[in-house]
Amino acid sequence: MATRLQFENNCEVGVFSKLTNAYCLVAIGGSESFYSVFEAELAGVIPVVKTSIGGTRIIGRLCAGNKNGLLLPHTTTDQELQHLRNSLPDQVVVQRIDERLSALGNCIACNDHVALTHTDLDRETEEMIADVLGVEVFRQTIAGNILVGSYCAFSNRGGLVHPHTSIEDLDELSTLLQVPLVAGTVNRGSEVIAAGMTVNDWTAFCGSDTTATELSVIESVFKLREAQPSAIVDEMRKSLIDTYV
Amino acid sequence: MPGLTCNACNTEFKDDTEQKLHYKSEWHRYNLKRKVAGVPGVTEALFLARQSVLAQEKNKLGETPMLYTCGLCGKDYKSSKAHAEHLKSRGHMMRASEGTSHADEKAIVKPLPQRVVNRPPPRREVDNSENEESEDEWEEVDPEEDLVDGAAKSLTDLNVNEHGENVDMEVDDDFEELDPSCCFMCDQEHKTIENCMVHMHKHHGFFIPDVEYLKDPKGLLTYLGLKVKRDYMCLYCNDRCYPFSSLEAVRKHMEAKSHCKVHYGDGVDDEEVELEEFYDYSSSYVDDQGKQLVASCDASNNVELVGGSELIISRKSGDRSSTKTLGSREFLRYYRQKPRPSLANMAITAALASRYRSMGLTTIQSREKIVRMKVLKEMNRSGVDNMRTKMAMKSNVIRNLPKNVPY
Repeated sequence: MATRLQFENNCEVGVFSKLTNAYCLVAIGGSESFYSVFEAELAGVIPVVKTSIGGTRIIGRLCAGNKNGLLLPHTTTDQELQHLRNSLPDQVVVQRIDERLSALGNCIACNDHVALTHTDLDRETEEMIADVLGVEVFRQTIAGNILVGSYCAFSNRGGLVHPHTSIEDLDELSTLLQVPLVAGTVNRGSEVIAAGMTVNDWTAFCGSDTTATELSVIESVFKLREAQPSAIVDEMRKSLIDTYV
Repeated sequence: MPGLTCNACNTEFKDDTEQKLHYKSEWHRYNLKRKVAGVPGVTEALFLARQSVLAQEKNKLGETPMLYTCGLCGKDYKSSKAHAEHLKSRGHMMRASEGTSHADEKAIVKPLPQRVVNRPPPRREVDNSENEESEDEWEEVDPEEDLVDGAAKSLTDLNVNEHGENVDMEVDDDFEELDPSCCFMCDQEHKTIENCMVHMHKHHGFFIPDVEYLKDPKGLLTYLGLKVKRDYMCLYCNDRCYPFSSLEAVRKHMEAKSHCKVHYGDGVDDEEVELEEFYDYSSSYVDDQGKQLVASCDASNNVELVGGSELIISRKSGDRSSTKTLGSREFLRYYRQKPRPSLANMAITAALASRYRSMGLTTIQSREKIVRMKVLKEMNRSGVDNMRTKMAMKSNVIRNLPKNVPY
């Protein structure tokens, strides 16, 4: 289910956290409230890691990752890199990328199978994303915005995009990602979706300003009410069909 | 069911592989950027055409330029088209025909254009050498000008040095024979001192204050000349700065700062003391009407005052001298009194009158006044009947007083 919280009186929880199906990263804060909420929801399932990236706490906007890997910008220090490698599970590959667009969370939006990227990323970075995260990379824009990582958030079961996205673009993106998409908002009308929420396949965290209506849209599109970690295997996907064939 | 489409490029795909390849292509990226800018996408054919145009432009920039030279006319061209056009021009045709007529061998003239194409490197070298030669020519001219300037400067310096040396020698050898009629600013000699002063005033702004009372102009000019030529000191500001290093420096300073004047009358006592020898202000002690001012406590006065509040004006004309007394309003009541003279007073008056006659005083009015004052003085000393015997001065009686003033 979706939970509402705030980080030190700031409702942009997606800026200070990164949630995937294999791990969760949380910013180092003066108060334990933010960390405790994540720990209460995710304890026993995935590790919740306190970390900083390049000495900053906006870790959700600087890194991009899924269950297969984690990409960090070139500003990450060696201590932080080693700390993350020690804390995350073994199958998660932690890689530092020398990319001039260092806010990877704003440039890349991905789940466990597909990634949408900024149109100006280098080809080397594109190849590295495909290798580390194990995804197919598509260059795309959302509602005329090139920061795809900021204006959409999607998991393996659903996605939420900018409220000004046209129906044709929604259909195209839905075909690419192979998940249902809805245009919506978070934090009482904010169209910066990824900054106001963070989501994986069975739970979501939103800012405390998110209204009940927005929360209802989020829970329905991400199918959070009947979510169980083991529910992934039960649902059939086109990729699974291809595998069987 | 929506098919596999790309909204930015307005294209449809048959299968996943084709769609994925499209999303990795440059065409898709180009259209995405156009979509962000609000411009509709372009078709693949147009995109390829634009790319080919850009490629051609890059290739053109990369080509190395060639130099085409015509041997007959000695002209160079940077492109084969221009060279070809030149071959068709009248000038080239005429020269070619002339060459043919002179040589009478067509085979020699015809291959020249081909050889010209093979000679670009040596031609370039020749051009470079010509440029070097021209540069050498420019370099040759400048040293000569520098030499000429240097010669002129050295001549000027020699002149200045000689001038300075001469002045120094004159000052050292003929100390007492410094000519006051010679200008100490430019060493120009004049017939008289007045002409020299006029010249210095006109050309150098020299000014002497209080000329009317100057009694020794020759001495003053000699003194100032020595100060400038021998001591190298500025006439106006020598109190604040040290002497200059040379005569030319002093002259330049005085001319540049307009200090060619005497520091006199500005409240500096040292300067005034130095120059007071050449001035005589005694004649300025007389009034316009010929009257002189005399201090009230002056010992040279023949008449002594009573109370010190009276002003006496004395006039000297040849052997005679007349005196007037101005009294203070404070003692008006006493001046208005007119006591009757007694016999004793008359006797004293007669005695004094005879004395003054022997001294040469002829004015009856002044004599009477003096006599009265003498009487007053003696009466005060004796202390007898002071109030009764004080005499009033008729000339000091103030009449026509306001009605509310009793006295």
